[in-house]
Amino acid sequence: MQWVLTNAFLIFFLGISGAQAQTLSFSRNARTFETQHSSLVTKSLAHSCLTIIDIPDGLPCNPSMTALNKKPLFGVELLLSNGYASLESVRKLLDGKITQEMVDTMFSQGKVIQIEANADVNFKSKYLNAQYTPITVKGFSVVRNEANPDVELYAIEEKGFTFQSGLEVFNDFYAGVQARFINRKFISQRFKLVQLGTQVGKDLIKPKEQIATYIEPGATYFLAKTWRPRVSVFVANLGYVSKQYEELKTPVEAQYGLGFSPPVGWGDLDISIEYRSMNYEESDIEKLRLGALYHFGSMYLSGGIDGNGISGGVYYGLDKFNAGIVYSTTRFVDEESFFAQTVYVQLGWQI
Amino acid sequence: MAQPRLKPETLLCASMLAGCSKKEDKKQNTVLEAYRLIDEQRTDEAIELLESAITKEPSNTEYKVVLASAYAHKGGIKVQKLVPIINHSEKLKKLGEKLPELNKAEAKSQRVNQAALNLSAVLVRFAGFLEAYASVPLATPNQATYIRHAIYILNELGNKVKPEDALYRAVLEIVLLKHILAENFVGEFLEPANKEETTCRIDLGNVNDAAITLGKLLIDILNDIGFSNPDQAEAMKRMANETSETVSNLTIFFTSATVVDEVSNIFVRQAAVQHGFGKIIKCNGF
Repeated sequence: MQWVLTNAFLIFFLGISGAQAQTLSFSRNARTFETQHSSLVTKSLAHSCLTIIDIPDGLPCNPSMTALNKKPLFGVELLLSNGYASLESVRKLLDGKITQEMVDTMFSQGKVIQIEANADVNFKSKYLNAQYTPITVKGFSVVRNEANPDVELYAIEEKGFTFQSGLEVFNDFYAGVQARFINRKFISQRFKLVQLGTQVGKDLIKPKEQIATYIEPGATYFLAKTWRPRVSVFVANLGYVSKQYEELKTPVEAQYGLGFSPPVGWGDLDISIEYRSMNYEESDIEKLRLGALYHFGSMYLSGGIDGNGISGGVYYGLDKFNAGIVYSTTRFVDEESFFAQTVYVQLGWQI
Repeated sequence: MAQPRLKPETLLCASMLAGCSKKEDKKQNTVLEAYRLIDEQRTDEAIELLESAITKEPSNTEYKVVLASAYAHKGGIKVQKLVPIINHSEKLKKLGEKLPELNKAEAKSQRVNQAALNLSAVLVRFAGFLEAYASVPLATPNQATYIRHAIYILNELGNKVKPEDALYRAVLEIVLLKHILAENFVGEFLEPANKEETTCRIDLGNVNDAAITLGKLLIDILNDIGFSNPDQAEAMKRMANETSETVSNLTIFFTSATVVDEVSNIFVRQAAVQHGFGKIIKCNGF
């Protein structure tokens, strides 16, 4: 009976969506441009986290894991990446305050500018998880051809709430649902720098706004075998957006994960192989990702890899305070030999 | 932080994930390749790549625009130099300021007087450019050759030119204008021909050639700025017409006159000095 239900449920989700066509030809940063807000540990897993039961610094990626929360938790997390000097410029850009100084800062100082910063308030319990994100800012620009600069700019600011609830439907089969309410401002453009001096170009980097509401179901089935093998499914972006934009795709996507926990001498190890998109522009092979999380005492060691880069980090939860650092790389699309490196740090407080 | 030479997919393929033993094929993108070569200061290779691509696909305007930028790169054009030019385009409004007037009573010849007035008007207009684009780098003669070629390539686009390409061409023309002003326009004052003359004379032939060259360039700049910014098109057209008329009158005078009277000579020379045009030849203590 359980197998029948599992198969039916997989067939249902598999039928929802296929791979999105790769439309950008210039560059794309699948690991930084993701429209899915994520915690430090999630980033270090290369976002391969659907089957990970315990995400120590945030909500689980799959709401079906809610019922597996061991104890209630309330916390605040602050994350910052390298390139934070550009944070103010990115925020001004998203406020539509375009000045010469800002343009100089953004586009004439180097080939790559990247910044990510966010703040989260998390609450986790056995039946309900909640997250309030007062602000998350991501900015990324690549400038090519210094003689007539061709710029790709991505900047997004989001605010919102996330709620998760889940339960064990029957033995080892967990289901859950996640509701996300997001208010976002963004700029996603490719343009030549000289275009900013033309009449038409002045409107190019005006921010656009979108309000989104998503109801995203997920499920996980644990097989009663050693290594705790499990399969997870999650449907991302099932919901409503106030306005569709060609340059910011958030299509409905079925995401799949296969996880297991091989026994180790000390601590716990979770490994997850997944098929999920970050910005919905990747090819199928780019959607494959692998993540591993090792937990020993107060320490979490994590690493991940996908078609666009690698990442790894360490996170410590010491009494009420926690801190972590993650290193991540991202290959530029259509550029075999160039990639961006990002270092994230996060500080938090939990009770 | 950005670093070259890492291929994550290689690591991924080495992992346990199945079905990725073959590297994913990537379509060779000539423009991106050219960008990379330019950014790596391998501009000659970029030019070779683009010229080859244009030979195969002569109608591809994007290749030509990138080729022009490659030549501009050899001419010393870089992003740090472009940004101030683009951001100061509003300063061009200064070009519309009232031109200085000559005290006609002091002039011996009305025709000569008018020619001097025209010449000084052109100088003032050029000075406006120099002031607006003080941060524009001065191109060396060798660099100017490449910039000229970049402008030539963009001119070949004809009516296929986009507003941003026209503005880019205007930027290159501004750099070239500054080069010509600094290197060529001045230095037209010759030593007095005899002891009776107290001031230096203007070499009419050279001034005429330079005025025509610069006038044409200025008109091209104004037209390109007007094309890329339709809200400024009317003002730019008016200034282009005014410049054209001034240069034309100047040319008519230069072709008929052999000498400029002393008052006009002083006026023009002072205008040149006052507006900072480079290689003034000192003579008789001036």
